[in-house]
Amino acid sequence: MSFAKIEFYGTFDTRHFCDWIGHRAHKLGLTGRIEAASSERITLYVQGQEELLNAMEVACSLGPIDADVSHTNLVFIDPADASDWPNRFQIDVGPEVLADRR
Amino acid sequence: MINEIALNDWYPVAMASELKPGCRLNRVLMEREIQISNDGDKTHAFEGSRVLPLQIRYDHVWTSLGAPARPLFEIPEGEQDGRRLVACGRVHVRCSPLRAVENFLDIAHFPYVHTGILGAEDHPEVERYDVEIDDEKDEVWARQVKFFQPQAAKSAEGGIMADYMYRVPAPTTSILYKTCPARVGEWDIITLFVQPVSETTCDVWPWMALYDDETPFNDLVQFQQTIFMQDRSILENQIPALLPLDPKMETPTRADLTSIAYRRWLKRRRMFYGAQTIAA
Repeated sequence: MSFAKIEFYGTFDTRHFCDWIGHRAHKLGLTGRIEAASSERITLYVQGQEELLNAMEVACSLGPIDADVSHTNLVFIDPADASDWPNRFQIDVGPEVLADRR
Repeated sequence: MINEIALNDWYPVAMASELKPGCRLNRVLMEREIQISNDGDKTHAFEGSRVLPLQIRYDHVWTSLGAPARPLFEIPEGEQDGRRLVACGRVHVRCSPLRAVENFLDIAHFPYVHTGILGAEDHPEVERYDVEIDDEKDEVWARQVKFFQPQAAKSAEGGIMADYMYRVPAPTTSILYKTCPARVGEWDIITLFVQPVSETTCDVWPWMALYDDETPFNDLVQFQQTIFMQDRSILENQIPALLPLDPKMETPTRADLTSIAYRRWLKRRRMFYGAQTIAA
């Protein structure tokens, strides 16, 4: 099992992209959370097989039709440093962030 | 969806060698009927009585239904001395023009679709490679692509680890730069020029610029046609027929990075002709 922090940069509809990421995480069987989100950057922490974490980054680098992802950054995390990981995928950002529609 | 972006681009519609004096060709470009004619002095393109822009480059006739916003892309290597320029004719394919380009960018299918020629089932690995959207040139590039090929070209004997670069200079054109078996340090150029007939049908015009003085012309054409006919059966059975710009129902992996960059670039350019813009 691997752990990673993935960041996406660009311009997007925050709520739509967060929902899309949640759908993708569920499809790939990943757990973790979106920890920060704005209309220009989304940061998530995910846990799963290494290949699936890579697949998560690749899929989200295209994202939904209204997202323009300029670049991504994936960093694997030492499992010893990974604690308090949820056993499902959750979006840990406030409703005011998700309401931030372009 | 035909929008201004699609209308204002250049598209191949014939081989230059087809246009003998007095010749008149009927073609369909994005669902519109056009004519290409040669009056013995010049070549012309029309939609009804409307004169269309026209140019002859890379052994093909190019036209546009609109007012092209930028010149046709350059392929400098195609003008180097000593290369053989090979126009391979036309292959009609019942698929989205964007699907045809995307398939050309996909290395992972080589071992399974072009078994024994461009790939081997016991060498399916796609090593990591670099992909970028070059904002200055407005093109997609994939570099440092390496793949084992049992017979990388007509002139190749035995398997080699082939080096590749892919370039997408226009939404319906892809250029492959590939290890040249006959001349170390040079790239063979293999291009796919795609004429959108409709959103779900296209005519593909492969063209090559090779360092190969030995292989008979017909063998070169036949080699390329064989490869593309193998692709055609795959292309015509893809679902959905349009190229999804939202991969919600797909599971792309690292091997698909070129395809993903291509789709991102199409989305950014708002080139939606032949694309599916809502998640299935």
